[in-house]
Amino acid sequence: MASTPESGLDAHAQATLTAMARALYPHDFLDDAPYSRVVDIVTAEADAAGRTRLADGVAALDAALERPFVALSEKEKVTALYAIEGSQFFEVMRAGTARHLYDNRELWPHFGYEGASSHLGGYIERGFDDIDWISEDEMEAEADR
Amino acid sequence: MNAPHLDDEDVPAVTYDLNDDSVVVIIGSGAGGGTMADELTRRGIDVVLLEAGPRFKTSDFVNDEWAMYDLLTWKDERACTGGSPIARDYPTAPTWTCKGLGGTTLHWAAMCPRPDPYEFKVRSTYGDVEGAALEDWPVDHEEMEPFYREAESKMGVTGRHGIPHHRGNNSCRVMALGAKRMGYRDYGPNNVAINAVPRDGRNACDQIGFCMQGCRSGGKWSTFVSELPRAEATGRCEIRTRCMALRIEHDERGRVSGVLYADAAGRHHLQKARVVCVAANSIETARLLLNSESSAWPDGLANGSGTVGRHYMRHVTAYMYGEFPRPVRIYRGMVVSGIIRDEARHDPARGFAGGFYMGSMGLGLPFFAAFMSPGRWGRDYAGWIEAFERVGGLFVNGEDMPMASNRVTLHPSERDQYGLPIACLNLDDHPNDLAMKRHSYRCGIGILEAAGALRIFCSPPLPVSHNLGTCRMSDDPDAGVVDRWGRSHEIPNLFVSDGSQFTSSLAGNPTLTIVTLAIRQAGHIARLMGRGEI
Repeated sequence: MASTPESGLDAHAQATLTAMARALYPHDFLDDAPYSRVVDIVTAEADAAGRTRLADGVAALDAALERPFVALSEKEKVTALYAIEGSQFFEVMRAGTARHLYDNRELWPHFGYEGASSHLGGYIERGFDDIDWISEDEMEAEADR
Repeated sequence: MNAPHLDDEDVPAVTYDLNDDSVVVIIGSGAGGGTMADELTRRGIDVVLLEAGPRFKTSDFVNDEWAMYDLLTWKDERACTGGSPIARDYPTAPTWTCKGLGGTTLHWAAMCPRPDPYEFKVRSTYGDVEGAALEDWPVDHEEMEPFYREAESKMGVTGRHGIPHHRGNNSCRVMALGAKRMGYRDYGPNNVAINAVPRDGRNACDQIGFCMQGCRSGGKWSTFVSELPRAEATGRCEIRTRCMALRIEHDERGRVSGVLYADAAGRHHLQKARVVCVAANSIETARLLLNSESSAWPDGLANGSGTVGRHYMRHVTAYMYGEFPRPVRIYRGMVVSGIIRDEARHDPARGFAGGFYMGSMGLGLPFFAAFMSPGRWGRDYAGWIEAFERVGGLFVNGEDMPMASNRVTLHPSERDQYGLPIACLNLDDHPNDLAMKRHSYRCGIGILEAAGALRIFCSPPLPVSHNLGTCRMSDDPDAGVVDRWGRSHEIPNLFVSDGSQFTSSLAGNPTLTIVTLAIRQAGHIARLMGRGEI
């Protein structure tokens, strides 16, 4: 994988952190692009010390099982992540992935999330109460009395 | 000497001189401070209101959870110690309050449960609870009742005084189905200060969602949309935004004389005052008093009792999610559409004192992923996030036991951008809190399973917006900071006008009671000023 201009990381570091982001929050229906984007954002948010920490983190991931992290199976990647869980590097990547992966509105349709609604008039006429698997009798009697 | 107005958004209808010592200075513009501004100005009293944050426009409120978190949140660092999971998960950001005109009413979900009479008499009702600093409120429900009615009417609480309810949303319907099958009786659409129909100059709710991100439709009550514009329209209220109160000064007679604050450029000014009302939310209110120490009050202003900062309370909270076979879409519509009241009672047979409410939850994918379980990762957790569309949620809000050791103190070394010690919170859970939480998990899991949930996820507590009790109301000057009117026992022209006054946390959400106390206190201040007593 080529390094991305946004992150300024070398190709190996970019690939390793992208694989780490996927192993943290794996969704099989996503390709690598949104995980790589997370790495770009986390890298952009890092100061000089943070960048050094990311580089050191890549080395720690490769050292965990004495093989490149990107070459590990998913199960092995999880084992490697457990080995560094609790480190500052791990937490920066975990929290960064949890925030920025799911804050990517291009992905929201995959998760059944519709995002902003005020520009569409909200859901008052668009299904705020349209649940169809509770019988109408039960619904009317209990939710609206 | 004119006070500076550095926020472009402030176009004051009136300006008061820094040396004008006839004004009431209100610190904070949320439920307490905003209500005080409205209630005092309509009685013809001149007000200068200091708000630490900026003045937003409704168009600033976008339907984006993280963007609004970044825009609205009070982010000045705080420290947190103690055994609560909050100290572990959110050590530098243990609370979730707002910095901006309207305060935390910008963020609140608008739930307005009315306390039961027993909740003001918790010591008498529960007896001694070991390790808890329980006291009865000096006021009772009967005395508060007319002010609750006034507050509910001002705020437009649905289901009260003929104000129509909202139709329950999908999340409410799942909750109601489970509640019915569990045999609960007192549940249904929530009592919220959100208009179902246009009322009092406010629009009707469009069921947008994002109640906690500022409210784009203007249907939700906040001091930002209701009280503050009304106060400014009287021509008796000057609002100074981006002005952070640093210290309350007093004179040699032991009366407060003014408030030192920093403006947006960091310049210091002293606004003189006839009366000072502190309504900066329970943590900042306590911090301000503690930072206002002097030779006369070496342990903090008005802190002869040593109770400023103590008895800090939140609520017992719990969050539970169930995955259902078919879509729920909990992000659609109002955040707290449904409520179950059956457990909001004192019944020692359940193994704890006090009660709790359960409500249906709404939130978007970004916050669901971030807060369902901070720190969790892996395929199982990602699987829950994939189930988002089919998830239903419940939250619990219950009475928190007051403890003297749960308190706000000044950090010994950390300083904020103004050079003042940051607030340090110590938070431990009382055994009663834990027993209530365990019971609430049993109830909530039962409800979700009865509604057909395939599996359940129980979340750890979140940083809270309910911060209470750090300037406790008491008839006994040795046991609390303020009297039955929120007036300092030691300083006759100093008032605490926010949730810091709470003697106990109450079972439900605090905003209705904060507004109620402010309405009552404003009338009292006007009477005292009218009689020349302050």
